[in-house]
Amino acid sequence: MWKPSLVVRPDERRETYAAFLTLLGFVASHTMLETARDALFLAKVPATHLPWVFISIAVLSLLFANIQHRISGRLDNRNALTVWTASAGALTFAFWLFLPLLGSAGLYALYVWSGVLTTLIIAHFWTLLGNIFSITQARRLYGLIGAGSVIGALIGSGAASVLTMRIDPRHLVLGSAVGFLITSMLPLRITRHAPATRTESGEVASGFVSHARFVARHPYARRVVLLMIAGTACVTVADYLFKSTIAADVPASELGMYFGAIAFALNVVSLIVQVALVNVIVRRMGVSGSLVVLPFLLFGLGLGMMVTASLVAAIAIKAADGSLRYSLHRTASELLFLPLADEARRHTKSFTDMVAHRGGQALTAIGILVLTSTAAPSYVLAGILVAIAGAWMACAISLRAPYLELFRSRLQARRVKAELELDVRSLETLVRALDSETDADVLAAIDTLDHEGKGRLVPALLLYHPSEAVVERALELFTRLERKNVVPAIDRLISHPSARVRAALLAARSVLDPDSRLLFMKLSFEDSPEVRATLMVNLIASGEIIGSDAKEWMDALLARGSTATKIALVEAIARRAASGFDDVLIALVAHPDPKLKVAALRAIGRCKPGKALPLLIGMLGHEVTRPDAQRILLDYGMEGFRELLHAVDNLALETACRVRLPATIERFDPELASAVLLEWLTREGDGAVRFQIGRALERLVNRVPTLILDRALLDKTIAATVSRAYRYLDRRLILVRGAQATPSLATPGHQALVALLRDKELNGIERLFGLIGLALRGDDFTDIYRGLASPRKEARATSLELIENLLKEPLRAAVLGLVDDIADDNRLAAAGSFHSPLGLDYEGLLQHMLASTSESVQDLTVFHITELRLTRFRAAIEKLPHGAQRSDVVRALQVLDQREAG
Amino acid sequence: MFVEAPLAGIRDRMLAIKALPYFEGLGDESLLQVAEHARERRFRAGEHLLEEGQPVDKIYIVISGAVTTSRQGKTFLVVHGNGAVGVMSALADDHVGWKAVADQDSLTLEIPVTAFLAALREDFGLLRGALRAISLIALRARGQLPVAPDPDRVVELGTMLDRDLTLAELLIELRRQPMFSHANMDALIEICRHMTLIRVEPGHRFFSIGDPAATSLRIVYGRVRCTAPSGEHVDVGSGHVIGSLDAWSGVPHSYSAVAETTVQGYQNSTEDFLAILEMHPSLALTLLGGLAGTLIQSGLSPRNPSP
Repeated sequence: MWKPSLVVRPDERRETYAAFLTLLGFVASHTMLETARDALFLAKVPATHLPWVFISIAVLSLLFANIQHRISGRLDNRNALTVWTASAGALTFAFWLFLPLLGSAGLYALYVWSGVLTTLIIAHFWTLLGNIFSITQARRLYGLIGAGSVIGALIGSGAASVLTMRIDPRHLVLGSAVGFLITSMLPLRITRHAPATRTESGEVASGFVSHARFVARHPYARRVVLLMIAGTACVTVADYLFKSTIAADVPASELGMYFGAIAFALNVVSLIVQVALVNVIVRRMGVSGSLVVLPFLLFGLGLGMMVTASLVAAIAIKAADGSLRYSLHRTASELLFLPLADEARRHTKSFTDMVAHRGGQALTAIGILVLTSTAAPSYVLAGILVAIAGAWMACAISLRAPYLELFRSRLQARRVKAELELDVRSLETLVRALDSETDADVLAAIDTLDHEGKGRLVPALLLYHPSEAVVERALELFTRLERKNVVPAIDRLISHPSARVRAALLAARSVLDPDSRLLFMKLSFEDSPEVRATLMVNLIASGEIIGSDAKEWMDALLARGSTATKIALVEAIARRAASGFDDVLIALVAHPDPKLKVAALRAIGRCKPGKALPLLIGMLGHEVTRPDAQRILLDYGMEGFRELLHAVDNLALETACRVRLPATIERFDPELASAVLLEWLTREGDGAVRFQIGRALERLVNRVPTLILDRALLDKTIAATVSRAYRYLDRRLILVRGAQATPSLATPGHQALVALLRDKELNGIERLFGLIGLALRGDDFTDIYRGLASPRKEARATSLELIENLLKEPLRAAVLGLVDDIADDNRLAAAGSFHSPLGLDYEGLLQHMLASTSESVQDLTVFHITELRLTRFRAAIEKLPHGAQRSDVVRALQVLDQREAG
Repeated sequence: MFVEAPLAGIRDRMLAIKALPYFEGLGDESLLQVAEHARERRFRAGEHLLEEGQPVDKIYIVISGAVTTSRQGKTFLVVHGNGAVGVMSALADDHVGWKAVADQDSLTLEIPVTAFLAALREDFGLLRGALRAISLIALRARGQLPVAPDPDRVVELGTMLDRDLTLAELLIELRRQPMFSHANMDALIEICRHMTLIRVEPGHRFFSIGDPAATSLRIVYGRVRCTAPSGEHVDVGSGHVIGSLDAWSGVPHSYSAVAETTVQGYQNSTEDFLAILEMHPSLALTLLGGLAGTLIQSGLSPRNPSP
């Protein structure tokens, strides 16, 4: 049911009510015209002539629409609507004036005019609204605006029923003309109107041909047009069935009253549907589901007509058509155009109005003509109605997927599932990059070839590269891959002028082709301490220097060696993955110099001493060591995984490390990692860690889309996250209301608390979308969330539409409540079963927040209590955990004690 | 360069991006974030990449060639191969826009701003890379000093605190800074939790040029003299932060800082701060935006128009 104050936001009122009244005025006038037309026409002309009229309406609509389009291009949409409505009034007045002089021809002309009129003005009206409102606004407002149509029809038919009892139906035409003239003033109240309909190139659109071209190219537009054709055909058959049955069963003199009464009754039903059901049905069934309702009813009632061929069945068909076509069906049909961009919408809508509606009507009319010429019985026509209704339903159902896809495509940052395998072209690119003059290109190419397992393609000649970094990187690769074919090149370079390169060459040489004589010989000539360290490590590791000699040398180096020498030492250990240096590595990884720390860490990665594992967890907290620590933990395999699990349960671990655990766990076996992460997510208290767990799970699922997550656990976490977000909202509202009632409460602490609760609510919403994305894999909920946060109105509307369509109740309503831009009180009301209102007063809330699981909320609450000097909270504050280490708690106790003492 | 070849394949684009200083050291996942939205665009000499007066909705990574950006006739950046155009405007949400013209035939990768910002939000590696790059530009633009020298600047000494502020008081103070006024509260609270009040006497050396940038200091009271390698110096006082740009750039301190008076301030460890940024990408984006906005407004220092 509507609550207009909730449906229409203050900044939308002017446009909404102007649109509502315009539609009401137009439809009331048109209904009066239709009643007069039907009564006058069917009293003098047989119903079998109706198909000719339908064909004429179609042809003339096409013609007039083209003329209208060209003229409208010079006016903005709003002014064009005013001009067309006023013109309609003038022409209708002329009909009233000259109808007695025109005879039967006049009746045909009046019938055709009433049909053409609708095409010209109603289509223009909805296009104008489509330009003004977003999809989200349209969903909210079209129901209300559409009620203008139903109420207008009710007023028009009611007035017609009453007037036809007293006056000639012809005078209803005058009433209609006056109505159009008054209505023409109403669009001028719309202020947010769109400019003249122009193409991107700035020219006035070329009309039918360009619309047809667009529809032919655009699959969604084609489907919409098909749906509209099927719909028009179906209601045309239904209308003919009804009118021909009535004309056969009711005396001509009573037709005016009869049509008026039926139209009035149907409009009452239509109004009830519009007011009570349209919003509910569209929200529950979605756009495509709502579009199925009318064809489904016509399908069933058509079957009834086939069997009974009765007046009751014909009236029932008209009842379904009359009560739903201009309420539910019209609203849902207009929503179909909204996923299209402005230009696309204009093309599709114009084509639909010109061709689908009128063309469908004309084609059906031709079919009916053929049938009536063969005197086919009514059950045949009813059978055709059933068939078309079936096709109509199929069109509506098949629109759901492309409708949603169109919204998805509007969210720009859709993930490309990139194929990263190295193809021949990429390999050519990489090999060419090895020749680059830029070191960064060469290093990038080596890294990529190595990462892709194509390190053997890196040529030995790279050792002659002028860059030390390139040579060192190549040597590291060659050593790891045991590329013995590079030894001759190493031998030629072994006296390289750079000590770093020399050390690297010697280390690689001693691993690839061990030769202790060469090492001893080099040791006797070598001056550089870095190179000497390399030589010694390799001699110790190969068992050439042992016992006390080895220990003495090592101790001396650790005690007095320079940082550069120590780096050379650990690099040498790393290059040959030498065992027996565990204590050295563990000692050096604790060194404050970041370069040495990283070098020692990398050596640990090569040697993998078991006792280094706990150190690696600590290394996750530091930027310089994190990437290596993560990689090395992974290299440890299950041992590394178990160490991470211990860390998860270690609540004493510093936050800087804890937040890095999810991204590290994520690198292990996806099944194992996802199970651990999901279970952890349900019990983690720190929001920042929960956020990282969620992100890690998202990345895992992106990487392995077939990964199965425990849905029950996921649903539980989603529900808990929704509840938490609403709890923060509720708390904030109590604070805000409290400060509104008592302004002295609005202290800096109050402001900070309000801001904190708002941010916590927003953080929760962001996490929620990540979790929903894990549960519903088909759609990227991160993009949907991003769309909601976007300053672009269209992106936000698109996201809301996707949420409406993709989520199921009760989650849908609760999520929409969290992200809606209505007043916070109304948002809180959408929580449903996810949150029971706290129902606390201001101080009750402060008491409640002292028991929060968030230390930040507790601390700011304590601060605010201190500001307000609320001594009654002293005992509760004193009981807070770790109070002595919390500055606000300590300060609060001091201040409150002073207050009590003073 | 391997960019004579077209950059049609995603792998090619990843390789091209990987070789750029902005994205040095990034893994495949991070590179993919950028590469999947990038498309190759070639511009002939004289062609415009961006028009002044229009919001920047795309950024361009210049792979080869040269592009000059300017505003109101004033040259802002000359980007030769291995640079980016439009990044600062994108980060600062700058609606005024820039003119960017290819000085010679240039090959670029074009990335929609929305995709770029989304990638930054998704991937801390990218975000960190951007923070590093923008901080370096800011440092260079300020002559390797915390603020550009300005003879008219008055150094505020501030008021000495008689006690350490509580967490909430510190938070409220921090939120008074324009850069943090709308920052995520959880992130600010984390920053406050890691701040330590220190007090030093005149002559105290906070750090020297080349020292590891392990901490930054938000000055509450006092005056600190910062001296660049060129010998140029600036004095900063209450409300200023020293050491942060070096820390964000990931380089050793580029200037020395010595207390001229008794100095009181809140010290923050670089590691802690970076950890907080990783936990709260929105704060990192706020910082980036603020830094980029400041750089744009100052039009970059004339001493270094082509960072």
